[in-house]
Amino acid sequence: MFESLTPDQQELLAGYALGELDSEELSQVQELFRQYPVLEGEVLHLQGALGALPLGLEIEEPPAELRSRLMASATPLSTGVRRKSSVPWGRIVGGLAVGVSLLLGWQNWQLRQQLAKQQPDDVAITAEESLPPGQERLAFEEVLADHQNSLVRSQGPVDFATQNVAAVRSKYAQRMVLPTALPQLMKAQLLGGSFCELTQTKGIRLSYQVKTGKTVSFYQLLNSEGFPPATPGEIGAPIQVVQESNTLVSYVWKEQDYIYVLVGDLPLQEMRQLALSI
Amino acid sequence: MLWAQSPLQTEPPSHDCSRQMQEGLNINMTDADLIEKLETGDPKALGEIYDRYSNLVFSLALRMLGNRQEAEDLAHEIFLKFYQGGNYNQKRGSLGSYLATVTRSRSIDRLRSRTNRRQILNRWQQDLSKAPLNLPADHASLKERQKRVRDALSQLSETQRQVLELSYYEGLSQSEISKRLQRPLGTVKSWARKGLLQLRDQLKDESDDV
Repeated sequence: MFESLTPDQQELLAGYALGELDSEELSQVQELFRQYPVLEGEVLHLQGALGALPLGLEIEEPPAELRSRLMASATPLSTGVRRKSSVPWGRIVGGLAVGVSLLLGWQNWQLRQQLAKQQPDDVAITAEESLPPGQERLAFEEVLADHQNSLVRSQGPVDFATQNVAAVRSKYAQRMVLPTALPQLMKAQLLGGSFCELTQTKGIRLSYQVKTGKTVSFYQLLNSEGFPPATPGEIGAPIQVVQESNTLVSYVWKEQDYIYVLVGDLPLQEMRQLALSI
Repeated sequence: MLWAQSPLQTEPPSHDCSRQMQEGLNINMTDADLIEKLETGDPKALGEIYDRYSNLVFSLALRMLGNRQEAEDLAHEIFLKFYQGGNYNQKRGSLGSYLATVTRSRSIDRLRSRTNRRQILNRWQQDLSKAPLNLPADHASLKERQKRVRDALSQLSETQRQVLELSYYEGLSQSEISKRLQRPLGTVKSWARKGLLQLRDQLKDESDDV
């Protein structure tokens, strides 16, 4: 099938596999997929060829002491401590064909986000436009649910009340690896911190109160392989909106081991300012 | 058969059998066997997995980060985290593919954190960090596979290879590559697309053999 495409069409598919199509080209590829679903498999071949690049590297052996260092760090764990992945891969991945469909949806979403980014701040972004597809949506919905649950708990939004971020770090340093300093919001009052176990990752939720009295949650989550971070975008820009309450889930940034997410029922502009004050 | 379904089988380890004997591991253990042992918290299994894949992880990290110390630290971190409870799932692909994907993803994170964070966050680019390391036919030894990929890469023009490598190893968008090489964006796109098509053609026969 692939060989029967014109050279231009083949190049379009290659551009698709590289993730470098403009919106017009993307429409053309989507039309090709619609006509010839078998081409989705060809994309996997192209991505496979790209993914084989590391095999072309000259092999460099790590220094011998690295193994010793690793083995010294890897103290025996008791049975059951090394947790098997609880990620519902079957539901998330769902097969290669679905994966390609998600990719298409993802690229559409990216394009919509690019367009949304070019609009003035006061232009409403609807929930439909803001929702990322598939696994990302599921993951951030869980973060949103955690935030909303924290607001209605009888004991208040925090497990550990303090106005000192360092105290939160000390409190939870035993439960997960944390950097020496936690980032914090500068334009809000810290209420305290809580430890969160989500399906695909875990982390710290810092609860803050803003001037209007509303509570926002600032999450520092482990950059787990099972937790899909949003593609980095404009700081504070929404990745998900709950239309009824205007609650925004804003991806903030990903940095090495952590993903930072801000959730709150605030106007978009205010949310961005909060994110930029970190 | 798709490459995505072709597991990276490890070569029979030839370099350190004595250590394996001392550690009580069967040299013919499959990756799946080792992962099963790892799930019980047995660090010996980690040692064997390290022996099989450390060259791949370290070479890729070194290529991407350009610094031996950083590459060592990253390799250490990747294997230790894997031991402590990685999210690897055998149904998603081979262990080698998983470790290479994690190495690339973490390397790109480190590269990005070196430059201005917000400048990067304001950039929209396709993140290829999830591009799978789908390896050719699993009946060939790793060395044979490496030779085939090197041969395939040598068939590309210098510019085609350079553009694909900048995209893969440095995570650059084609706009950024265009600026870096001071060549028009359209030219860079053409090099990348033609290069990838040619690479796919060169490696296609192997996938069809499986």
